[in-house]
Amino acid sequence: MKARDNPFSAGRTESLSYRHNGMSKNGLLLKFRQLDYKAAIIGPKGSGKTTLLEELKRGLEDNGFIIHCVFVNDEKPLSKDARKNLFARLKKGDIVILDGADLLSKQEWRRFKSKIVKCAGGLLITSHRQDLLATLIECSTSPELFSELASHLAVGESHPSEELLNKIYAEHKGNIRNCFRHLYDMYADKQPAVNK
Amino acid sequence: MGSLDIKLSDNRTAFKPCEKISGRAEWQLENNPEALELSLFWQTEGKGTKDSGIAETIRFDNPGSVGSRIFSLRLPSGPYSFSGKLISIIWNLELAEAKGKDAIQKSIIISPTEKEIVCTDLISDSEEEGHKNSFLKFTGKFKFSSHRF
Repeated sequence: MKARDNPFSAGRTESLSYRHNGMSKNGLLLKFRQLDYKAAIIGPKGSGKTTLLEELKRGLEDNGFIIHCVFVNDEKPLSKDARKNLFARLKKGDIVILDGADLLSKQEWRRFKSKIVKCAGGLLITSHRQDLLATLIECSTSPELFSELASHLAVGESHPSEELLNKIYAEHKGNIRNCFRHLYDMYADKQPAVNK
Repeated sequence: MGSLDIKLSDNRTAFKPCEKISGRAEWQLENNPEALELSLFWQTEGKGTKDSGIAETIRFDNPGSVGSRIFSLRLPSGPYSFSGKLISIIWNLELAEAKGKDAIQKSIIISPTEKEIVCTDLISDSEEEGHKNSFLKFTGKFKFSSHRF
Protein backbone atom coordinates (compact mmCIF):
# COMPACT_ATOMS: atom_id res chain seq x y z
CA MET A 1 0.00 0.00 0.00
CA LYS A 2 1.21 3.51 -0.82
CA ALA A 3 2.14 5.59 2.24
CA ARG A 4 -0.41 8.26 1.34
CA ASP A 5 -3.22 5.68 1.18
CA ASN A 6 -2.34 4.09 4.52
CA PRO A 7 -5.24 4.78 6.93
CA PHE A 8 -2.78 4.85 9.84
CA SER A 9 -0.38 7.46 8.40
CA ALA A 10 0.81 10.09 10.86
CA GLY A 11 -1.21 12.78 9.08
CA ARG A 12 -4.42 10.84 9.65
CA THR A 13 -3.74 9.73 13.22
CA GLU A 14 -2.69 13.27 14.21
CA SER A 15 -5.95 14.67 12.87
CA LEU A 16 -8.01 12.58 15.32
CA SER A 17 -9.78 14.63 17.95
CA TYR A 18 -9.43 13.87 21.64
CA ARG A 19 -12.16 11.53 22.91
CA HIS A 20 -13.49 13.02 26.13
CA ASN A 21 -14.39 10.48 28.76
CA GLY A 22 -15.97 12.47 31.55
CA MET A 23 -15.21 16.18 31.49
CA SER A 24 -15.89 18.11 28.26
CA LYS A 25 -13.53 20.68 26.70
CA ASN A 26 -15.50 23.54 28.26
CA GLY A 27 -15.47 21.78 31.62
CA LEU A 28 -11.70 21.45 31.41
CA LEU A 29 -11.28 25.12 30.47
CA LEU A 30 -13.40 26.10 33.48
CA LYS A 31 -11.33 23.85 35.75
CA PHE A 32 -8.14 25.39 34.32
CA ARG A 33 -9.45 28.84 35.29
CA GLN A 34 -10.32 27.56 38.77
CA LEU A 35 -6.73 26.31 39.09
CA ASP A 36 -5.56 29.89 38.40
CA TYR A 37 -4.41 28.92 34.89
CA LYS A 38 -1.63 26.68 36.16
CA ALA A 39 -2.23 22.97 35.60
CA ALA A 40 -0.95 19.73 34.15
CA ILE A 41 -2.36 17.12 31.79
CA ILE A 42 -1.02 13.84 33.16
CA GLY A 43 -0.75 10.47 31.51
CA PRO A 44 1.53 7.78 30.10
CA LYS A 45 3.04 7.89 26.59
CA GLY A 46 0.51 7.61 23.77
CA SER A 47 -2.51 8.40 25.95
CA GLY A 48 -3.62 11.57 24.11
CA LYS A 49 -1.99 14.29 26.22
CA THR A 50 -0.68 16.29 23.26
CA THR A 51 -3.94 15.86 21.33
CA LEU A 52 -5.87 17.26 24.30
CA LEU A 53 -3.30 20.03 24.74
CA GLU A 54 -3.85 21.14 21.12
CA GLU A 55 -7.61 21.13 21.64
CA LEU A 56 -7.38 23.23 24.82
CA LYS A 57 -4.95 25.59 23.07
CA ARG A 58 -7.58 26.31 20.39
CA GLY A 59 -10.21 26.79 23.11
CA LEU A 60 -8.01 29.27 24.99
CA GLU A 61 -7.23 31.16 21.76
CA ASP A 62 -10.95 31.36 21.01
CA ASN A 63 -11.36 32.94 24.47
CA GLY A 64 -8.84 35.67 23.51
CA PHE A 65 -5.68 34.40 25.23
CA ILE A 66 -2.26 34.78 23.61
CA ILE A 67 -0.65 31.34 23.66
CA HIS A 68 3.07 30.51 23.43
CA CYS A 69 3.88 26.88 22.65
CA VAL A 70 7.00 24.99 23.68
CA PHE A 71 7.41 21.37 22.58
CA VAL A 72 10.12 19.32 24.24
CA ASN A 73 11.00 15.69 23.52
CA ASP A 74 13.96 13.33 23.87
CA GLU A 75 15.42 14.50 20.54
CA LYS A 76 14.61 18.19 21.01
CA PRO A 77 15.44 19.49 24.48
CA LEU A 78 14.63 23.06 25.47
CA SER A 79 17.59 25.17 24.30
CA LYS A 80 18.82 28.32 26.01
CA ASP A 81 18.00 30.36 22.88
CA ALA A 82 14.45 29.02 22.70
CA ARG A 83 13.96 29.82 26.37
CA LYS A 84 15.36 33.35 25.96
CA ASN A 85 13.17 34.01 22.89
CA LEU A 86 10.11 32.81 24.76
CA PHE A 87 10.77 34.90 27.86
CA ALA A 88 11.38 38.01 25.73
CA ARG A 89 7.95 37.68 24.08
CA LEU A 90 5.88 37.10 27.22
CA LYS A 91 3.31 39.60 28.44
CA LYS A 92 1.12 39.56 31.52
CA GLY A 93 -1.95 37.42 30.96
CA ASP A 94 -0.34 35.23 28.28
CA ILE A 95 -0.46 31.47 28.63
CA VAL A 96 2.52 29.20 27.99
CA ILE A 97 1.90 25.66 26.85
CA LEU A 98 4.74 23.23 27.54
CA ASP A 99 4.50 19.73 26.08
CA GLY A 100 6.91 17.37 27.83
CA ALA A 101 7.55 19.29 31.07
CA ASP A 102 8.92 16.22 32.83
CA LEU A 103 11.86 16.15 30.42
CA LEU A 104 13.26 19.30 32.04
CA SER A 105 15.66 18.77 34.94
CA LYS A 106 14.36 19.76 38.39
CA GLN A 107 16.44 22.93 38.30
CA GLU A 108 15.35 23.83 34.75
CA TRP A 109 11.71 23.25 35.69
CA ARG A 110 11.91 25.43 38.81
CA ARG A 111 13.49 28.31 36.84
CA PHE A 112 11.06 27.91 33.95
CA LYS A 113 7.97 27.81 36.18
CA SER A 114 9.09 30.77 38.26
CA LYS A 115 9.80 32.90 35.16
CA ILE A 116 6.46 32.02 33.52
CA VAL A 117 4.47 32.75 36.68
CA LYS A 118 6.27 36.10 37.02
CA CYS A 119 6.17 37.25 33.37
CA ALA A 120 3.05 35.63 31.94
CA GLY A 121 0.34 34.23 34.12
CA GLY A 122 -0.78 30.91 32.71
CA LEU A 123 1.05 27.62 32.35
CA LEU A 124 -0.45 24.45 30.93
CA ILE A 125 1.83 21.44 30.68
CA THR A 126 1.82 17.77 29.81
CA SER A 127 3.76 15.39 31.98
CA HIS A 128 4.05 11.73 32.90
CA ARG A 129 4.50 12.77 36.53
CA GLN A 130 1.97 14.29 38.91
CA ASP A 131 4.31 16.41 41.03
CA LEU A 132 4.89 19.44 38.78
CA LEU A 133 1.56 21.30 38.82
CA ALA A 134 -2.01 20.66 39.96
CA THR A 135 -3.62 17.96 37.81
CA LEU A 136 -6.18 19.18 35.29
CA ILE A 137 -6.94 15.70 33.97
CA GLU A 138 -5.34 12.28 33.88
CA CYS A 139 -5.41 10.79 30.38
CA SER A 140 -5.77 7.07 29.95
CA THR A 141 -6.57 4.60 27.20
CA SER A 142 -8.57 1.40 26.94
CA PRO A 143 -8.90 -1.42 24.41
CA GLU A 144 -12.37 -0.05 23.57
CA LEU A 145 -10.96 3.41 22.82
CA PHE A 146 -8.24 1.93 20.59
CA SER A 147 -10.84 -0.18 18.77
CA GLU A 148 -13.09 2.84 18.19
CA LEU A 149 -10.22 5.00 16.87
CA ALA A 150 -8.87 2.20 14.64
CA SER A 151 -12.34 1.61 13.16
CA HIS A 152 -12.76 5.33 12.56
CA LEU A 153 -9.44 5.50 10.67
CA ALA A 154 -9.91 2.30 8.68
CA VAL A 155 -13.24 3.34 7.13
CA GLY A 156 -13.48 1.76 3.68
CA GLU A 157 -10.69 -0.71 4.48
CA SER A 158 -10.98 -4.19 5.92
CA HIS A 159 -11.04 -3.87 9.69
CA PRO A 160 -8.67 -5.81 11.91
CA SER A 161 -10.51 -8.21 14.24
CA GLU A 162 -11.23 -7.21 17.83
CA GLU A 163 -9.00 -10.07 18.93
CA LEU A 164 -6.07 -8.72 16.93
CA LEU A 165 -6.67 -5.16 18.16
CA ASN A 166 -6.72 -6.37 21.77
CA LYS A 167 -3.46 -8.24 21.17
CA ILE A 168 -1.80 -5.14 19.67
CA TYR A 169 -3.10 -2.98 22.54
CA ALA A 170 -1.64 -5.37 25.11
CA GLU A 171 1.66 -5.66 23.23
CA HIS A 172 2.12 -1.87 23.31
CA LYS A 173 0.88 -1.56 26.90
CA GLY A 174 -1.89 0.88 26.00
CA ASN A 175 0.36 3.29 24.04
CA ILE A 176 -2.08 4.13 21.24
CA ARG A 177 0.54 6.00 19.16
CA ASN A 178 2.62 2.82 18.98
CA CYS A 179 -0.51 0.75 18.31
CA PHE A 180 -1.22 2.93 15.25
CA ARG A 181 2.39 2.48 14.04
CA HIS A 182 1.91 -1.27 14.37
CA LEU A 183 -1.26 -1.07 12.26
CA TYR A 184 0.54 1.19 9.76
CA ASP A 185 3.12 -1.54 9.13
CA MET A 186 0.40 -4.17 8.76
CA TYR A 187 -1.47 -2.10 6.18
CA ALA A 188 1.76 -1.08 4.37
CA ASP A 189 2.35 -4.74 3.51
CA LYS A 190 -1.27 -5.40 2.67
CA GLN A 191 -1.51 -4.71 -1.06
CA PRO A 192 0.92 -4.88 -3.94
CA ALA A 193 1.59 -1.45 -5.47
CA VAL A 194 0.14 -0.65 -8.82
CA ASN A 195 1.60 2.21 -10.81
CA LYS A 196 -1.54 3.94 -12.08
CA MET B 1 -18.78 30.08 4.56
CA GLY B 2 -17.21 31.17 1.29
CA SER B 3 -15.85 29.16 -1.58
CA LEU B 4 -12.43 29.03 -3.20
CA ASP B 5 -11.43 27.16 -6.35
CA ILE B 6 -8.33 26.48 -8.46
CA LYS B 7 -8.94 25.63 -12.11
CA LEU B 8 -5.91 24.44 -14.06
CA SER B 9 -5.68 24.98 -17.83
CA ASP B 10 -7.06 22.01 -19.81
CA ASN B 11 -8.01 20.42 -16.44
CA ARG B 12 -4.52 18.93 -16.24
CA THR B 13 -3.28 17.62 -12.91
CA ALA B 14 -0.02 15.93 -14.01
CA PHE B 15 3.05 17.79 -15.23
CA LYS B 16 6.71 17.38 -16.09
CA PRO B 17 9.38 19.00 -13.87
CA CYS B 18 10.20 22.63 -14.80
CA GLU B 19 7.02 22.87 -16.85
CA LYS B 20 5.09 26.14 -16.84
CA ILE B 21 1.56 25.71 -15.53
CA SER B 22 -1.33 28.12 -15.65
CA GLY B 23 -4.87 28.37 -14.44
CA ARG B 24 -7.44 30.53 -12.74
CA ALA B 25 -7.97 31.12 -9.02
CA GLU B 26 -11.59 31.90 -8.16
CA TRP B 27 -13.21 32.98 -4.89
CA GLN B 28 -16.55 33.95 -3.45
CA LEU B 29 -16.16 34.91 0.20
CA GLU B 30 -18.39 36.35 2.89
CA ASN B 31 -15.68 38.74 4.08
CA ASN B 32 -13.31 41.08 2.26
CA PRO B 33 -9.84 39.56 2.80
CA GLU B 34 -6.66 41.63 2.90
CA ALA B 35 -5.02 39.18 0.50
CA LEU B 36 -5.26 35.70 -0.97
CA GLU B 37 -2.22 33.50 -1.50
CA LEU B 38 -1.73 30.76 -4.05
CA SER B 39 1.04 28.44 -2.89
CA LEU B 40 2.81 25.53 -4.54
CA PHE B 41 4.13 23.20 -1.85
CA TRP B 42 5.19 19.63 -1.19
CA GLN B 43 4.27 17.59 1.84
CA THR B 44 5.10 14.15 3.09
CA GLU B 45 2.56 11.60 4.23
CA GLY B 46 3.42 8.30 5.87
CA LYS B 47 4.61 6.63 9.04
CA GLY B 48 6.73 9.52 10.33
CA THR B 49 5.83 13.06 11.28
CA LYS B 50 4.54 15.16 8.40
CA ASP B 51 6.96 17.54 6.75
CA SER B 52 6.33 20.20 4.12
CA GLY B 53 7.86 23.14 2.30
CA ILE B 54 6.71 25.93 0.01
CA ALA B 55 8.26 26.15 -3.46
CA GLU B 56 6.47 29.32 -4.57
CA THR B 57 3.72 31.70 -3.45
CA ILE B 58 1.75 34.19 -5.51
CA ARG B 59 -0.05 36.89 -3.52
CA PHE B 60 -3.26 38.59 -4.65
CA ASP B 61 -3.59 41.84 -2.67
CA ASN B 62 -7.02 43.40 -2.07
CA PRO B 63 -8.82 40.68 -4.02
CA GLY B 64 -12.35 41.70 -2.98
CA SER B 65 -14.90 39.25 -1.69
CA VAL B 66 -15.71 37.87 -5.16
CA GLY B 67 -13.27 37.58 -8.02
CA SER B 68 -10.81 35.56 -10.04
CA ARG B 69 -7.21 35.91 -11.25
CA ILE B 70 -5.27 34.11 -13.93
CA PHE B 71 -1.94 32.76 -12.72
CA SER B 72 1.05 30.98 -14.15
CA LEU B 73 4.13 29.56 -12.48
CA ARG B 74 7.16 27.46 -13.31
CA LEU B 75 7.30 24.10 -11.54
CA PRO B 76 10.54 23.12 -9.79
CA SER B 77 12.83 20.40 -11.11
CA GLY B 78 12.00 18.13 -8.20
CA PRO B 79 11.46 16.24 -6.03
CA TYR B 80 9.16 14.06 -8.09
CA SER B 81 5.77 12.92 -6.82
CA PHE B 82 6.55 9.65 -5.12
CA SER B 83 4.99 6.87 -3.06
CA GLY B 84 6.70 4.11 -1.14
CA LYS B 85 5.49 2.10 1.81
CA LEU B 86 7.02 4.48 4.35
CA ILE B 87 6.60 7.85 2.71
CA SER B 88 4.75 9.66 -0.05
CA ILE B 89 5.77 13.03 -1.47
CA ILE B 90 2.72 14.95 -2.55
CA TRP B 91 2.63 18.25 -4.43
CA ASN B 92 -0.31 20.60 -3.89
CA LEU B 93 -1.55 23.97 -4.99
CA GLU B 94 -3.34 25.82 -2.22
CA LEU B 95 -5.49 28.94 -2.43
CA ALA B 96 -5.94 30.47 1.02
CA GLU B 97 -6.85 33.66 2.78
CA ALA B 98 -3.59 35.24 3.95
CA LYS B 99 -4.98 35.74 7.48
CA GLY B 100 -7.93 33.41 7.62
CA LYS B 101 -9.02 29.83 7.81
CA ASP B 102 -10.61 29.42 4.37
CA ALA B 103 -8.41 27.39 2.02
CA ILE B 104 -8.64 24.89 -0.79
CA GLN B 105 -6.02 22.44 -2.00
CA LYS B 106 -5.56 20.71 -5.34
CA SER B 107 -3.08 17.85 -5.64
CA ILE B 108 -0.88 17.67 -8.69
CA ILE B 109 1.73 15.22 -9.96
CA ILE B 110 5.24 16.36 -10.88
CA SER B 111 7.20 13.63 -12.62
CA PRO B 112 9.04 13.07 -15.93
CA THR B 113 6.41 10.47 -16.88
CA GLU B 114 3.53 12.61 -15.54
CA LYS B 115 2.73 9.67 -13.25
CA GLU B 116 3.53 9.30 -9.57
CA ILE B 117 6.67 7.23 -9.05
CA VAL B 118 5.64 4.19 -7.04
CA CYS B 119 8.25 2.06 -5.32
CA THR B 120 6.31 0.03 -2.79
CA ASP B 121 6.90 -3.32 -4.46
CA LEU B 122 10.29 -2.61 -5.97
CA ILE B 123 12.54 -1.96 -3.00
CA SER B 124 12.91 -2.95 0.60
CA ASP B 125 12.03 -0.73 3.57
CA SER B 126 15.71 -0.07 4.31
CA GLU B 127 16.34 1.01 0.71
CA GLU B 128 13.28 3.25 0.87
CA GLU B 129 14.58 4.79 4.09
CA GLY B 130 17.77 5.57 2.13
CA HIS B 131 15.70 7.28 -0.59
CA LYS B 132 13.84 9.26 2.08
CA ASN B 133 17.12 10.46 3.60
CA SER B 134 18.43 11.42 0.14
CA PHE B 135 15.21 13.35 -0.47
CA LEU B 136 15.56 15.23 2.79
CA LYS B 137 19.20 16.06 1.97
CA PHE B 138 18.03 17.22 -1.46
CA THR B 139 15.34 19.51 -0.06
CA GLY B 140 17.86 20.81 2.46
CA LYS B 141 19.82 22.35 -0.40
CA PHE B 142 16.90 24.64 -1.19
CA LYS B 143 15.51 27.42 0.93
CA PHE B 144 12.03 25.97 1.36
CA SER B 145 10.17 27.76 4.12
CA SER B 146 8.63 25.75 6.88
CA HIS B 147 4.90 25.28 6.40
CA ARG B 148 2.60 23.67 8.94
CA PHE B 149 -1.01 22.73 8.50
